[in-house]
Amino acid sequence: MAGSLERAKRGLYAEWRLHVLSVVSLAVAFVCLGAALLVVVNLHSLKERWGRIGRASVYLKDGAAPQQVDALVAALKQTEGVREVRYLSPADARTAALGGGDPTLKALPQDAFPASIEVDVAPEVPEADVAMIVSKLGALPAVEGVETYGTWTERLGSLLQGGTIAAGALAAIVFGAVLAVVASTMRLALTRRRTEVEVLRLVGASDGFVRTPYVLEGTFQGAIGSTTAVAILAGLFFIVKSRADGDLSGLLGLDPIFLPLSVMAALVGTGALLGALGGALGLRKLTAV
Amino acid sequence: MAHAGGRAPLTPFFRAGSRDALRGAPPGDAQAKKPVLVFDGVQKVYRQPSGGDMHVLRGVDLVIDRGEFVFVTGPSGAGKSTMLKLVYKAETVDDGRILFCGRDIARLTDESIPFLRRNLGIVFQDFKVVPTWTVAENVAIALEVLGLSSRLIRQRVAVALERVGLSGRGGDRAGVLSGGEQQRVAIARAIVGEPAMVLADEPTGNLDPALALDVLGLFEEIHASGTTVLFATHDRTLLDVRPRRILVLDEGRVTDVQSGLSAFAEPLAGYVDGTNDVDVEVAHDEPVVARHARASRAARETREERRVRRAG
Repeated sequence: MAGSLERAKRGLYAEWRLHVLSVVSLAVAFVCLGAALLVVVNLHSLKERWGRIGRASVYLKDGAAPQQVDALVAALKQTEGVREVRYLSPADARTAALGGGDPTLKALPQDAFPASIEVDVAPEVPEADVAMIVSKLGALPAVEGVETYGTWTERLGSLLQGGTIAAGALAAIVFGAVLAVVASTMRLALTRRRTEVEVLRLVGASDGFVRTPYVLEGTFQGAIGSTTAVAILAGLFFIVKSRADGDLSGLLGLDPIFLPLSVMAALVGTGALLGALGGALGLRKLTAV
Repeated sequence: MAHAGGRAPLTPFFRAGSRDALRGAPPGDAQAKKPVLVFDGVQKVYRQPSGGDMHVLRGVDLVIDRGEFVFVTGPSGAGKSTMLKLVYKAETVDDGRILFCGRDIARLTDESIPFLRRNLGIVFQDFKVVPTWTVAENVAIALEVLGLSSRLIRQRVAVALERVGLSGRGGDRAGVLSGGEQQRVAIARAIVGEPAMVLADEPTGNLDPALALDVLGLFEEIHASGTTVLFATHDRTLLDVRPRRILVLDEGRVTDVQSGLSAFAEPLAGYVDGTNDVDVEVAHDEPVVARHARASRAARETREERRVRRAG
C-alpha cells in the first residue's frame, strides 16, 4: 500500500494541473448536488413544521353552559398529547379575526364569531389519535363542530412532498453528472499516462498493482472536490442567511438550516467513493497490453 | 517485503531454484544447452477487416538455448514483433505451442501473465519510459512489482544504471534525456530484475547508426553476463557486426541461420531494406571494435555516396 500511495502521490504531482482542473470540476458538480440536498433538508424541516394536523378549533353551541365549557376545557387539558387549551369568547374571536380592523368586516354581526376552544396538539401525537380526539369532541352536546384545518395541512403536505421529490430528482441527476465528470476526468488523466500503464503491464505488474494508485488518485480527487464544494456551499449559505435571516424566518416560520454533519460527511464520502469508482472505471479500457 | 540474500521473490511461474538455473552458464557448461524457449509448430493468423486471413507465422519451429544471443530479422510486417508478442503473451497463438522454461505459455491464465513477464526483460523501439518519472523510478518499477525492499531496490537500480552507463543519472527526469539515453533506461529496466530472457523489439529503430551500435554493444555485454537475448531488427548493419545465430522471418516462415557471417549472406539476399542496405565486407579476424566503427561509418553513408564510391 505504501508503494501505491507513493505512486499515487507521484501521479498527482506529475499531472497537478489536470488534477486541479478535475477537482474544480468536481467541486462545481458537488456544489450543485449539495445545493439540491440543502433544499431537500430545508423542505423536510418545513414539512415537519407545517405538514401535519397539530391544531383544532372546537366551536361551541350558542347555548352552551359555562359549566359545560369548563368541564370540556378541564377534560381536554388532561388528554394525553394536548399541549395547550385556550377558551375564546365571541368577543375575543372577533378581536383576533379583525385585528386593527377593516371597516367592512367590522360591520359583521356579533354572532358571526362563535365561542370556541383552541386546542394545540403536540407534534409527536399520531394523526390517528388526533382524529380520534376530534371525533369524540364532535359528539359532545355543547360542541357545534370541530375544525382541524385538515384540508389546508393536507395541501401543504402534498406541496412539500412534491418539492422534496423534485429536489431529490435533481439530486439524482446531479449525482449522475458527478459520476460522469469523475469518470471522464480520470479517463483523460489515464489516457495521458497510457505509457505508464503499458510499462507496468510489461514489467509484470498485477491488476491490483496497476489499479490501486489510480483508484487512490480518484479517491483523493473526489474527496478534495466534495470537501471544497461543502466549504463553498457553507460560505454562500451563511452569507445569504445573514443578509435575509429575518425575512426567511418570517416567510418560512422557521430558521433555514445548513446541511447536518452526517449529510456533509456523506457528501465527502460519496465524493471519495465516486472518485474511486471513476478511477477504476476509467482504467478498465487501458489495461489490455 | 525483503527477501533473504537479495533474491527476487519466486513467482508461481517458476519453482524454487529454477530462477538461478535459468541464468546463462559459461560456455561448455552442460546447463548452457538447455532450451529456454521452444516454438513448436506455432501459427498466428490475423483476421483482416476485409474478411481475409493474414498468416503471420506458419508453423514456426525453433529452439533457443539458455545463454544464446539470437537475432530475428526480416522485412517490415514479416512478423518479428508478433513473434516477440507471443512470447510475452500480448498475443496468443492460434495453433502450436510455445514453451518458455518448459512451460506452455498458451496455457497460462490471465492471472499468470504478470508472473511470466517478471521473468522477461522487454525493450522496445519507442523506449516506453515514463517521461514524468526519474531515471531511477523508471528502472525501479521492475523491482517494485516483485515487492522487494526499498533498500534492495536502490542497490540493484544503481548497479543496473552503472551497467548501462547512466551511473549518477538516477535523479534526472526521464523525459529530458536523449533517445539513446532513454533506451539505456529501458535496457536497465529490462535487466534489473535479472530475467531469464531479454526480448528486444527493434530497440535501435529510433536511433542513429552510431547509437544503434552502442545499444547493440550493451546487449552483447548483457549476453556476456549469461542472459539469453532475442533481438528483433531489420537493420542489416547490426547483423553484420558479429557472427550470431540469425532467424530470418519472411512470409510466415523462419529460416534458421547458424552463426558465421559468410553463412547468412544467402538467406538474407532476398531481404532488402532500402534504408539499411549497407555494404560491409567482413574480415573474420578483424577486431570487434574496429568492425563496429566500420559498420557505423557504412551505415551513415548514403546510397548516392555508395554508388559514387563503387563507381570510382
